[in-house]
Amino acid sequence: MRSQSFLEKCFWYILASIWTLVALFPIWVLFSGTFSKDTNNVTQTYFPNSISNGIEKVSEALSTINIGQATIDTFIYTTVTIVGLLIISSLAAYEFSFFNFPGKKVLFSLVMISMMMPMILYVIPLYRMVYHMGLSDTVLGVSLPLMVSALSVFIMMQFLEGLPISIIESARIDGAGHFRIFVKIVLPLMRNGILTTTVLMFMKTWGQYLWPSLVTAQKIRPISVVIANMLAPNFWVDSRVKLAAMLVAMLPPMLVYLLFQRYVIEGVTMSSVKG
Amino acid sequence: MRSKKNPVKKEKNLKFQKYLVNYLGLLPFFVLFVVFVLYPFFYGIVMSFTDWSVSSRGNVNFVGLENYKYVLSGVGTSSVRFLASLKNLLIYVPLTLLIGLTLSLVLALILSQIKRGYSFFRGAWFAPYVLPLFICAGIWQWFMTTNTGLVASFFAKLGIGVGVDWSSTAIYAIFLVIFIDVWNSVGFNFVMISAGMKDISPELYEAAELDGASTIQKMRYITIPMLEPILFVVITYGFVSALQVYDIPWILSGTGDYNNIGGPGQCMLFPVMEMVRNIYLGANSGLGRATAEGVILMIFIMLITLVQFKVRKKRY
Repeated sequence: MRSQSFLEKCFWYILASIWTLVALFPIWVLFSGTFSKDTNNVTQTYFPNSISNGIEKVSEALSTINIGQATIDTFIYTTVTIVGLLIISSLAAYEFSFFNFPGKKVLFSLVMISMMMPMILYVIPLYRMVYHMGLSDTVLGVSLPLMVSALSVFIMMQFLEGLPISIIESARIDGAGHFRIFVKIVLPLMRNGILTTTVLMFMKTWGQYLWPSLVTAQKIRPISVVIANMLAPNFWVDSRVKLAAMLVAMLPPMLVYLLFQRYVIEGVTMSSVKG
Repeated sequence: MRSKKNPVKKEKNLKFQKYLVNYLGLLPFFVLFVVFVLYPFFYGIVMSFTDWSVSSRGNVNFVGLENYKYVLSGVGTSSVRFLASLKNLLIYVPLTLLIGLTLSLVLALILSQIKRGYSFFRGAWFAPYVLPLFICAGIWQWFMTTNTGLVASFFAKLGIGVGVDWSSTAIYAIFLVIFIDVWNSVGFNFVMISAGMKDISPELYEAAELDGASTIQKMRYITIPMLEPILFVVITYGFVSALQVYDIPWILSGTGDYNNIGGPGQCMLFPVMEMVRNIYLGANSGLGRATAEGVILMIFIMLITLVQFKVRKKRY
């Protein structure tokens, strides 16, 4: 490409910096507001100046507004969801990618259609059903419906696409069974696909609000529900504690993003390829 | 599958056995899919024609199109509210898509001009999408507090919404939701668009440069037309998720009072919120009405995806 003039370069970098500010500033202010002295005006604190006060606020958020309990609960159902989701989706991706069998087309289009079927269309009957099964307010009740993720099947299939079928054929000649091949050969090869799915689905499940709010009551406290209740106008708590609570709630997805950025971006790109 | 024990169809039997392992591998996914997606989906459609409510234990009566007639009639609180929510949706969906798409396109174009620091900018711009929606709602609720909020007072200085309580004033409330939604989702959309841009052959640009095209001209005549397939995906995703907007307005207009869900004058009420209100309210036929509202929403979603696919097929 033609090289840019210095002025042109500056122009693009200035534009890019403006949006960087818009994107990161709110996250930054959340952080600096939490870690500031009580004497500072909390809405105009742009830099953290008291680590100790921040720690105090965080621990207050963890205990008084149940953020600690909520984090643990959310962690549990998110983990259960992802483990279940990985098992069922990777198996489905394996079958769809490598084998031909009668009815494959129909089954696959069912999966594709379910991508177009947003949860709201069936959430009310689902909620009544889970309630009648006696699963409301249990980890399984929250997790089981969230495990069905066509997008996960789809992403894993993209990772399997490049693998030659000869791998499977030669393993079969060596006498390995269908599921043995899956566990011993295919799973290790789709390591990146599993990682990408895990990271994306972790962020997604952590942020779920509608479904957990319907299906839980006393025993399980989803972080989304606790934060939403805290933000209601009649809930009074020190504003720095509020900020601290939000900071804790966004930390897990943020950390996952910072650690696995490459996989996140790759996953998003992949989910668009065939759409 | 039923032919398994039929001796006449021995050949089919053998064939089935050969594929048994494949069906076995798909079984876990499809069992959960049928139980937790497909069954409730059809159950919901059927129940939208009944007087189903939270308190009806097994005995429901078919009422024909009553629920549909009611929610679309404009008579009665729930119906008035539902129609108001559709009206808000009518403003929200096109605006949020238009603004969101334009912005993500612009960001992708800016990024395509940047060589050093490419992945830093991409990573930073994607970050808001990583935040759960309930956190976005919380941060912006704080920023947009009347008079004291950081961004609200900044806007007030520019003469926008002086002294207005954004989350409870008509039109402003919808813009607040649009604003938060765009801030959050632009990261996702722009990453998809950027990925599409990278796939455009550099030869096209080189040819244009030989003809003396400017940067802007290259964008207008090469980049955007070549991006059409990916823009379709982004728009379809955007439509489906915008129609179901829930988390942000629910939290921002949240009160303990079920009659005030969606804020004063339903300024921030959206269809999914009204459906959920019907669950909590526990009125007669409440669930029947809520599922009917769901079916109406579904018809919108199906129509829109259908149109998108038709248009797409025509072009490619």
